[in-house]
Amino acid sequence: MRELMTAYYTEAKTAEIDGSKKIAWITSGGPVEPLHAMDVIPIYPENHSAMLGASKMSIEMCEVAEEMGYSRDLCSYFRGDIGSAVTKKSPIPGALPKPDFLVAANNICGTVTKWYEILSRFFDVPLFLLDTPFIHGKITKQSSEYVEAQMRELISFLEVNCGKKFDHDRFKEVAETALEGLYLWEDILATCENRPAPMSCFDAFFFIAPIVTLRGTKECNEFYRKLLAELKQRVEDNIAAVPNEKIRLLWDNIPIWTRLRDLSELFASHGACLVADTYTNAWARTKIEGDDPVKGLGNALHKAYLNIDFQQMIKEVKGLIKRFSADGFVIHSNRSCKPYSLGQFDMARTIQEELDIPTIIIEADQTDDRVFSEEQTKTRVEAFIETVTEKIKKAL
Amino acid sequence: MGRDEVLKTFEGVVSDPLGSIKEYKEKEKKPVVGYFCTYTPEEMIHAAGAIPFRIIGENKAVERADGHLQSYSCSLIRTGLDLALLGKLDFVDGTVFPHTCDSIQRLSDIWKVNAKIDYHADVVLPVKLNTESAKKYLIEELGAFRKSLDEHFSTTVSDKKLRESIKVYNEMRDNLSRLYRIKNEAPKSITARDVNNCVKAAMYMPVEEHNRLMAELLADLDKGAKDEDAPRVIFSGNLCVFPEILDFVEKAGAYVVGDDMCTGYRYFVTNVDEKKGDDLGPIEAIADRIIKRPICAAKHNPDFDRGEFLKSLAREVKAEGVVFLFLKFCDPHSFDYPRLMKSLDEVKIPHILIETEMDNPALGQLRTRIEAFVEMIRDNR
Repeated sequence: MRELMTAYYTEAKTAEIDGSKKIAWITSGGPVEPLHAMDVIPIYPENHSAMLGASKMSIEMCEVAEEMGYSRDLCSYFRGDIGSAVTKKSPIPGALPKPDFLVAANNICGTVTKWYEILSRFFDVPLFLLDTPFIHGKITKQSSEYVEAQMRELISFLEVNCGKKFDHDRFKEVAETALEGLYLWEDILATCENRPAPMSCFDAFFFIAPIVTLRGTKECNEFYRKLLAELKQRVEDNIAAVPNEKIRLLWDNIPIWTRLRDLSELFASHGACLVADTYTNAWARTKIEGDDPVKGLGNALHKAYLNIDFQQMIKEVKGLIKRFSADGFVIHSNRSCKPYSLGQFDMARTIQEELDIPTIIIEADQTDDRVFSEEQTKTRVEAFIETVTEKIKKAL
Repeated sequence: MGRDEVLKTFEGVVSDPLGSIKEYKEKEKKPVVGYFCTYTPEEMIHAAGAIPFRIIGENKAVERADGHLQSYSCSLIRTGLDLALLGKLDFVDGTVFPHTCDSIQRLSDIWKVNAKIDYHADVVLPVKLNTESAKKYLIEELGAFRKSLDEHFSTTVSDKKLRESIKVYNEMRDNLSRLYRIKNEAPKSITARDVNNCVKAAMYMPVEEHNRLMAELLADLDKGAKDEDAPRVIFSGNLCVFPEILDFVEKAGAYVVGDDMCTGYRYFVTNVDEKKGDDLGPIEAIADRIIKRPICAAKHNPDFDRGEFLKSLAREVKAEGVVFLFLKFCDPHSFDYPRLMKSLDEVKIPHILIETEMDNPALGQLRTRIEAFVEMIRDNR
């Protein structure tokens, strides 16, 4: 996978220099398939910010943003990204390649709207915003028509900025490849329904990069086919991600990228495996359906996990808990992500009451490690594990 | 009623907004509907025979909302939810959540489950305001809101009723615009706190009553009040929940001569075009106002630059300093801040940032900072 991602960034860096291909920065919930159809290289600042976190560079970059006047309370992905854009510091040599244009979808948050407005001014490049009205209950006719109209506007935007006609046949192919990739990704995550689980969500956090950044490419699917085969083999051979898996848990929210290893080891030391999570599963939802892939994609993006009300989210969480036979629910209350985090207290109560499984809330941040309390987290996780263990014993 | 009596009435309303709205509910025998953002089309609620009012919580420690909202959410939503959980909104007939920001969006979810208020409407306004498709969607979404009001309040929000409501709301907006002009031209004639009370009172009393009182006030303001050459300051941000801050500025010897706040100018600026309402339909005209009014940081309109707007506002009212006043944890405004700061730096207008939380104002410290800021403006001359 390292090779896959290196090849991707190398191609993008080359394109930046020789101008062989257009580069677009895009949000994680954005319409990437039309970009591939236009031979545009999509770059994901969110993925890059996660890399900044995992490589322990995020605090330095966040501090650069704070110097510029951006509040410490703002999303740390954004702060890391703008800090890196200004300083050119990054695990990728020379930082992310400069965009020719920007594509944002606010189906994940309002933060990206502001973030991309800032990028648009910083790089002085055009921005297309796909505005996906929040869904309370059912999608309304007017909002679905609005999203569809914008998908057509996006195509015109791409035509103008790429200087060529949109290739609908090519787009159809990409959409089909993307769909195949999404099914593969779904199957990969589903291998963890097995007891013991062949991988944990900490592995899934790592393996998610291609479905985010390379969705719609053959390379992505090839990689996932191999991964799926490997995982199936592990299931067959009864190889567990966490040896002596005793406890199965569900994770909620974006990972704490700066603490992946610590947390993974902490849980594993108690025989606890995080068998699934709402974050990587959110990508399995973006399926393009119907005869018209432009409309189908708009519709799929509209229904993104963070764009639905939290009664619907609770329903999804309940589904995951049942499907993966989780014994407990680990909730990351993420200072950087309000649409993901606000409502978690109610969600925890509902899950605890209706499914009778223990929950824990960890206060942290996706990449701003300054708000992470190591000792407190450890003590609380241990107490939680104890509760879950008691519960399992009683049930036996 | 003379000037002083009117101002006293407004002050009374603003110091006990819920008491006031409850009293009017009983007096006028009308349902009352709370809302969370000034993009709410109040005219529509009014045309449905209800009294709209803005929900802003109290300046005190949150008691129950902390069990539902993290400490990193803004105090507007934390204190607002607290009101509902403490039963202080039991008399309220409905709540309207227009799409504003991520926080208000999720508050709507939490509210629906916990607040136990009969009528709950989500008016999912577009974030984008500069395209034809967004406008079409906005008009349709407002149409859906009209239907929802009709159904719930067993009424018909007819075009005729809407046109009448637009008229009285335009009158309210005209009155406040006139007041702002007077304050700008003769800043000594009325205090900044009183001006702010006039705006906020409009959110907590029947609009007709507000119009009546404002007419009396405007007739009785001493527009000839002589002003010494004091520094002129404007505010920019989301909500001003501590009028004390306005007092601090004026007690330090400066005048507050305008703002770009949603408890101020942004609430009433831009009328609904009544002619457009006659020609195209009132809903279309209301949508048009939503698109045209100076935008809140939570909206996206590449044709409207908030930095340029702030600069031109400062120029127009001859401001010499800007106080950025934010409720802490407001993402949209925090994102815009460096940009706005830069545009003021370009024209060498000094500025200061004040972030407050409603449960922890630290007013003493703020007073010192504001005094120092006003001093700095004087030195800057």
